[in-house]
Amino acid sequence: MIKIMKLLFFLVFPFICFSQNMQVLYDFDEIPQTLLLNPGTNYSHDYFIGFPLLAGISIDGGATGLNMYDIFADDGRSINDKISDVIYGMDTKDSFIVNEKLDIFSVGLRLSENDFFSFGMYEEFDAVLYYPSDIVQLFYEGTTNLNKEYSVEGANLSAEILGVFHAGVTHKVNENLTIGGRLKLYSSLLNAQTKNNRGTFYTSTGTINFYQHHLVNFDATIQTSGLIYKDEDDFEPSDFTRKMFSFQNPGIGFDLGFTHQFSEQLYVTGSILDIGIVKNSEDVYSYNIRGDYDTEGVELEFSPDVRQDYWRDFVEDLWSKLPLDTLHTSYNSFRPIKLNASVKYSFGKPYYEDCFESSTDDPYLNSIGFQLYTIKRPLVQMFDATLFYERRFGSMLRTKLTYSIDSYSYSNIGLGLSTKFGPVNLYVLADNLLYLQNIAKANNASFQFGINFIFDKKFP
Amino acid sequence: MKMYIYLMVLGCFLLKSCVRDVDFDQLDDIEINTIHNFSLIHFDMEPSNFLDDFENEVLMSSDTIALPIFGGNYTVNYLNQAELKYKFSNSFDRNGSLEIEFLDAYNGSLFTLQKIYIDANISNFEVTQEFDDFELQRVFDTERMVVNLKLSNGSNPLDQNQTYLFSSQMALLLYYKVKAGDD
Repeated sequence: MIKIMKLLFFLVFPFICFSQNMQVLYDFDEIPQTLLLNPGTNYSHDYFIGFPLLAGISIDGGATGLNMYDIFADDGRSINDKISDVIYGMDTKDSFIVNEKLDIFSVGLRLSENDFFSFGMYEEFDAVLYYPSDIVQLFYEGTTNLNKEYSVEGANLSAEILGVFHAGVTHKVNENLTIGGRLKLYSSLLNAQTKNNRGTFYTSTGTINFYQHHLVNFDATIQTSGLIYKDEDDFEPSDFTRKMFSFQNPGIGFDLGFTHQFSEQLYVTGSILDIGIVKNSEDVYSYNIRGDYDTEGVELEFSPDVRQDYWRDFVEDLWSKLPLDTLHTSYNSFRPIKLNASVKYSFGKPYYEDCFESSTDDPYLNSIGFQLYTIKRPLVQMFDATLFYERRFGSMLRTKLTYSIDSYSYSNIGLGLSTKFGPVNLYVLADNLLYLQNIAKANNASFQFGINFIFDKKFP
Repeated sequence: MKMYIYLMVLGCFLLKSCVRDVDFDQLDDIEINTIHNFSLIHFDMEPSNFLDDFENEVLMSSDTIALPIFGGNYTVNYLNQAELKYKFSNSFDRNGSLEIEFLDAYNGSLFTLQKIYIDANISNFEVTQEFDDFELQRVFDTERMVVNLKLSNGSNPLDQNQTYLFSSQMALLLYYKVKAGDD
């Protein structure tokens, strides 16, 4: 148990500091990775090459209903009381979410004045675990609460690691409208997901023994494919790359996006990402357990002639009424679809306009706007609303300040810095800055970092 | 100049990141206590169970059940206390006794719990036996449990047609204490 707790502490809590949304990166014009959030971005440069493995690193995640402060607050209360509060305070809608992306390579080039082509590959890990409230309470309480029903419906998990190969085109239809699309080929390295879990366990007063234990209407399934090892020692790092390029569990998906300019200063954007499906057909191990079972223990017969194997009979009876099936049939998994939308108003031309050498089409120094984001998760749709302010400092530095209300908090302040020294673009983006004063109180935050080489038409 | 001030303020803000008002040493104070109760075995014994084919009294009866439930890591690491809880009803006009012995995988005796005496003509007699430290240390090697039941001699001989009944219920109570310092 303590290993599980330590594992949770070291794995989950660090990611509690990370959120889901890339609100700072979205529509941050100069950064090429914005094209992955909206293929219809009116991208202003002519060429870019991402620094291999360093063009885009992002770690996002979050936990609703829990932060480190809830448990480790130095407030004089017993930690065991605080753990109890957390256990009973969270519900099955609360979740732990982790998302990590690593841009392995990315390239973009302008095909014509109106068309921009970009392609590349990234690795993505995405996992959501819903808080299995009743199961945790059963562990915490034991079986002493007679007739209290513990449901497995709250046990929901979805996790995947994919290699994503993508290519997209941004096309400027006219002065006001830019549209874009991106085709994605997925190669799943690992997938695990629960499906339609239901059933209850409870203990009641027995009739022929002290207690009667009941498993009622049980139907639980977990599907797994890819790099799932029974023994962790079997894992070889080369399996990771081999699997990524093998397309043994392939998938396909696409992104769509647009930018519509109402005036020189006002435009709206929108995108829908990862409308995609993965067919998991290799290394599939799916487990389903279904049925009902009641027991009041084993009845001894004291037969002097025939020695009964009571335990074997008990186990066989259990598995006959509650069979565990192992399936190897392929199954489909769906990518979490995301929606982005924004309105942006630019203002404040540079005073010395003739001296300003803007590298983009937009000469304004300031922008304010509003963004919406939503992602489809297994149990709930998650939303995020963001107000932002962008400020340019010459051609070398651009900043973006965001304030977001999301599923985790009402006070998420984010900041992005993007520099461009010659062709080198370096960006660092983070959110939940208010909690930098005390990370323990944060339910979420996100961090992105990357290096790109950006060229304009001077490039041959 | 304004830009550098802006950046300096920003840098100070970012570098001031810390974790305050929390005490991670509390991890060592975590202690979770749970009790898991399981119905284990039950039986009903009639006069015929104490008679052989020739109607001779066989007052000692024994049965064995495999019980490979104590060897799991969780139990080995966190089991803090164990109890067996019994309920007896004995309508025989004879006293009875019950003794539980725990065996390892090689049928070697690990320990035997104290014998329980059940009076004649008694109903819903409840007893709880707590494992002592010696027994608790050895219970993890348990693979089988032997139940020895004995009726005492009586003045009236047993007869198959008699309606006496010796019934027993038995539940296992496992007390777990999970502490941060444990492995």
